[in-house]
Amino acid sequence: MNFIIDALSWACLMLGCFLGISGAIGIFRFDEFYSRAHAASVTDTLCVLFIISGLVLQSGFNLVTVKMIFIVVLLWLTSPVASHALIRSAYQTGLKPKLAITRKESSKRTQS
Amino acid sequence: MPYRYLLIIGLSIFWLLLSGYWTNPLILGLGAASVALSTWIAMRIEKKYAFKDKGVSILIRQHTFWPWLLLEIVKSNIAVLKCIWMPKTNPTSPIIRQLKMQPQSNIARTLYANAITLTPGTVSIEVRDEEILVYALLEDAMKDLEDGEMGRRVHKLEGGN
Amino acid sequence: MFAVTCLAILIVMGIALARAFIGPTVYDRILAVNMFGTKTVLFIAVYGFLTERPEFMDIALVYALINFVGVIAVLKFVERFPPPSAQSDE
Repeated sequence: MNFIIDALSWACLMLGCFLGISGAIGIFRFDEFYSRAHAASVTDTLCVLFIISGLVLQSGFNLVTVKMIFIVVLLWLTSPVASHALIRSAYQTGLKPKLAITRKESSKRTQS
Repeated sequence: MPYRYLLIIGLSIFWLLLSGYWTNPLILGLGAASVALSTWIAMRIEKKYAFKDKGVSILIRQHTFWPWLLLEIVKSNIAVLKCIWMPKTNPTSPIIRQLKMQPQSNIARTLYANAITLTPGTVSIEVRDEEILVYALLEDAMKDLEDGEMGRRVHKLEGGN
Repeated sequence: MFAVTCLAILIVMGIALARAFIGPTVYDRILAVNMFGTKTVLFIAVYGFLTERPEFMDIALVYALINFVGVIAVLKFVERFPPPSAQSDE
């Protein structure tokens, strides 16, 4: 039983590390700001979830577990607000995103 | 008003779980004081930005929404990971589109915009009364949003059909 | 195994810091710093397990909140006084 839990938490932690590193690669590889925001949001969601659940599996159930669950909840509530505020202020100060498809309706509406 | 009591109960549970001292009267008193202060500040905010309209109905139906959202997050994470590791075979196709929002109340709209931002691949840029400006990294993600599955689910949370 | 996780998170933090240095726009820097802060929270949590001091979890919790408030404050500042480089490049 102990071995299974160890293996499971090891897998969770490694998956979290992999997601974090790929987010970091993405933040480097994408060529403009708006795409980079998406790469960062990968690390903000699932990476946090996997690493914390790996730790939860290790600790068993006590008050520390509750605190770790609070960390996940707080990060998941605050990170979309932060990235929305970031992108909105970038958009309003006039940083134009590179678009692949410029349709008539979308280009017309975004200018208004 | 049920909203205020919900806030007080939630904050008290938060304090008790974080502190871990459930018998020390000094710490319990400090906790009561901070809960009262936070509730007062929240009520002051509440006067300006009314959030109370559908709060309770959304809160008790959360369990139907989060498992689906988690699945959606996993799916879109895989899509964005493909773009990061194999940029040749999976080119990004950034797109901006203005969408109509199905949810009606303020709090449901906030939840909807946050859920869009939380899923990787889509970000909400601006929220006006009925409409939301969404930036998506992939065209497929934008198509999923236009189909309106997420909007329908949030609309169900606030009691619509 | 916590040591490996710590190392990986440190690598991620290093890459985020490099992005914060090279820019090019001010928003890239804020994005990288925000990511750095999220990873710091995770790092503190994992480090608490590595050294077997679970009190570190409280620090991680507080850091998550401070990071959020800090990013929002910097954004407010940048929004009100946009730096000249924000519009020109890219």
